[in-house]
Amino acid sequence: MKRYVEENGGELVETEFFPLDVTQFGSTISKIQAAKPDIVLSALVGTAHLGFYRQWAASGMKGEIPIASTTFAAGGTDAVILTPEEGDGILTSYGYYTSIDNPTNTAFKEKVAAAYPDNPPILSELAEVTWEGVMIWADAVREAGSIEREPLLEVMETGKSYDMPVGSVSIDPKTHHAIRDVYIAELQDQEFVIKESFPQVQPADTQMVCNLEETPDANVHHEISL
Amino acid sequence: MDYVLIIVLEMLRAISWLVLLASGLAIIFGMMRVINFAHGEFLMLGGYITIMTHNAGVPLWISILVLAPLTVGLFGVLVERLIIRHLYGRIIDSLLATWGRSLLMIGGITLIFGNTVQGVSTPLGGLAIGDYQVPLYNFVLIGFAIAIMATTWAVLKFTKAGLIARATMQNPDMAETLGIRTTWVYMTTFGIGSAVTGLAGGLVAPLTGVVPSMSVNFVGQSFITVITGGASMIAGTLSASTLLGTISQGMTFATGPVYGDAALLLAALVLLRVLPQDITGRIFKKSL
Repeated sequence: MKRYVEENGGELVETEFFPLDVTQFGSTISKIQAAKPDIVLSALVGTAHLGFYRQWAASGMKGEIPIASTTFAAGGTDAVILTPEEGDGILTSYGYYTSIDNPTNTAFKEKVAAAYPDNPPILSELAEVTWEGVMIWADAVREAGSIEREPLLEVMETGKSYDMPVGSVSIDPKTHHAIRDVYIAELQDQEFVIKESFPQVQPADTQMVCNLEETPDANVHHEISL
Repeated sequence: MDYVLIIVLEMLRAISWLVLLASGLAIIFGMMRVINFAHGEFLMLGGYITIMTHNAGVPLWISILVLAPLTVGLFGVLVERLIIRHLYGRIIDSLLATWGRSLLMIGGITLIFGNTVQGVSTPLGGLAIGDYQVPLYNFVLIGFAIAIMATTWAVLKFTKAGLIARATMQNPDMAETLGIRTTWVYMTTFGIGSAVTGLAGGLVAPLTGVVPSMSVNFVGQSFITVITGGASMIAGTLSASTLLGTISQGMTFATGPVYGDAALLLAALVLLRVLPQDITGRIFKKSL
């Protein structure tokens, strides 16, 4: 976050970290009210931290300063636990939203609903990319006729593109990460409304450090320096 | 100036928060030396009853102030009759039994209501203080912390029931000899302690996410407050809450929430090292 803010000419006013069991955010909200930043970026996780959005709304800050998050409702549930009055307007960016409009996604949602008729699960990026991973692996197994690692890698590294609920997904041979669409969406009435889409985004962060084409047997834990 | 006022308010809020979280536990621990390991789940139950009844159309204040304490209180009586009553004086066994019950409650609530239920917004809105706005609800928390402490004190000090309770607390055998049915006293106390915890759970519900496993966020603070404060319900809870609340909130404002949390733990550690018999075992010995 710091890096992106500074790269885009922004100024970072302050960063605070929160233990996962913190439920009270009064001091932080007061500090934000004093600093009056243009935007608040939240990386809060877990149900205790939902207190932030709740107390933010109760302090009359809703609509005063926008909140964007790369973690809010990552599993989908946060958007439902908060009431619309508290959650509306929160911006997030993920690689999947249920509101993506294409036939594959419609079919995907129908299949999930049919499989769990009583209690359909909340779909989020986590759920969809897990599905993607298994489906891409299955496709490679079918094509390679094997479940060994090497033949599967060969198939995936061809840069084949897969038709997934999110849109077209392919595997970057350099990093083995996905090249895929990414979205920015705003929460409205407990549903995310897509505001902007970024088609076929490269895994730029890992590409900076990892090149499996040159060193296919690399066995290092890469750290991306900020 | 406004900022100082905000900090003072937040400290008062933090102290009240600890009082609310700990008082139910302190009542039970102080009276009967039973450590209710399912304390956090009683809070969770209070929270769930609040949001479920509110989502079903009951006005929020009735859910918080009537239904949550009443239901959790009755549940507490039931638990006391069925489980705790057999385990008085067996502290390890009662720990195990209450811990088992806490797991059972987490599982049960998940089974009945699922993991995700829409919560309730914080009522009342904000109060502007200069450039700042604080939730008016903070004053509700402070008010209830004072009310719970004052009521407990008044009941123990001035009523016959309070006298009986204190007698049972000091010497159950002697109280029994004088014709007091101590088992009933214990049952009532457990019920009242549970009801207070239910009320706290109801008050917590509009502030944070209510999920079956939410208790982990609160038990730490509740237990630390009670252990630091010691066995006397009012002086112990008040002194420990004031000390820990002020220190942790002061640190939070000065440095950030991570150090605020750490400061609370450190303060409790130092206190227990200096006063191994806890605050009321040493300083306010004769107090309630």
